[in-house]
Amino acid sequence: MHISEIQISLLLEKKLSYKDQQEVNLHIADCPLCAEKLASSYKLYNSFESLKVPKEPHIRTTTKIYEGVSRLLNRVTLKYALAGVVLILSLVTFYTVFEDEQEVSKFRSIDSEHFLEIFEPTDESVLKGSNILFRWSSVEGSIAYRFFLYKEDGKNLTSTLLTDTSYSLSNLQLKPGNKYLWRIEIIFPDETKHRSEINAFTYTK
Amino acid sequence: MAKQLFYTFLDDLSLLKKLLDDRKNKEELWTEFVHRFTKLILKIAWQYENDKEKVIDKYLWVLTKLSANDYAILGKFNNNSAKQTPKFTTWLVVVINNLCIDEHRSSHGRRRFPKALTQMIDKDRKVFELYYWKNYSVEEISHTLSLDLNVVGDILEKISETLTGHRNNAINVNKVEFTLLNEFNIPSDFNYNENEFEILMEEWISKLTTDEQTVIRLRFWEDLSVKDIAQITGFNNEQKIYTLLRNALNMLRRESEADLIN
Repeated sequence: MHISEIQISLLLEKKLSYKDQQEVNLHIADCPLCAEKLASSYKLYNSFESLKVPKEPHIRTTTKIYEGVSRLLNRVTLKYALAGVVLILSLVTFYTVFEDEQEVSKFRSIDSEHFLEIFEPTDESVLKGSNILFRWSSVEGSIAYRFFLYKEDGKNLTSTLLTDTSYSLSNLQLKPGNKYLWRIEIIFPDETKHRSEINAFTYTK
Repeated sequence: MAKQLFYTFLDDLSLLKKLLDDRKNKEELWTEFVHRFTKLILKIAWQYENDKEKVIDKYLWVLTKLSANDYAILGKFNNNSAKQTPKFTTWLVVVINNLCIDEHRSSHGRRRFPKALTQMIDKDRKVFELYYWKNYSVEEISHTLSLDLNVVGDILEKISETLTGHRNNAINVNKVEFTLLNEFNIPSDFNYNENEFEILMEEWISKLTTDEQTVIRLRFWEDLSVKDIAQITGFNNEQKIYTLLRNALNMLRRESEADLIN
């Protein structure tokens, strides 16, 4: 029986009981695999905060500001303090400002170096059928995409994280005669994101 | 949107619990999980790959593993029956790191020799053996290996840099440990047959006490410093680690002499 991840984690956090510590020592004396895993985790754990994810050279000021705010929000205490405020504000503005305007106003065009080409459906298409296929080109250096679908008034209907460059949408949530907007968000390894232009289509029976 | 916003305020454990239990909103919960831990996964992926494309492949591979079989791997944290529970992020780092090690082993094979040896090319290793293990002078090495004196000097300098100032600071062999290494006596004319040598080494190591085996593996196979070994093993006493290392290397020297010289 190898050393469990729980045991290794407890050892790293110095919470392992004396008996379990003895068991771990005894085991790694005879198990190179566990010795390697334990030592590797130990090195990683002790240097984790200082490890860096290489940044893309194109990061813009706005992205840096976004990251700064994200880091601030990630602080747990501040997060909870803000939680109440944000939730109250969300409830008040949910059907007015937040849904109607923010989604549209925060759209940002992508850099030319991360140009994403929409294959189908083309802008202002008229579509029908039980499934609608969305396809776009892959963007070099990206790690994932997020598909966004909005009502014509900008209200978000769905957002789905994808690693593929296509998405099949069931028509169940679409009403015939209505116009819909969609776009793709491109996600990069350093967590920066870029969004494509908005395309529209009208759904018919 | 409100739901997605709500998920961002869940703490890690609540998010995990919801991800495992809430079948209806799995997609949104998984999206939040990925968003929350992307940086953590990427940090680990960069430890195993240098190329950005490969890092992305590894990142996606890790996500696939974590989400496979209805998040079976993540479920292990929730089903933990131990009295103590570590932080979820600590556990996640260990799990992802172990996945990467297993994958690395399956594609590159397991590590068979101490890093300090395997990281040296053949010529450097020969110089190392003669200088540190056989106490040859620079002139004697130059003559034995038909190398220019300056070349031998450069190699020794490079070895010293490797052992004392490895780029990751993973190897931190000080003078005391050099002396200890020197006791691990292997004849300079010993011709390495990797399989044969590995079997011999395992035989020698099996004759050590368990504490000695543990510190030998952590010191020479895993490049941990004496200070780190003291913490990992819970001995909390560096002097004890030095004593164990000294005893172990004395034993290994006797065993290696018996098998290789006599």
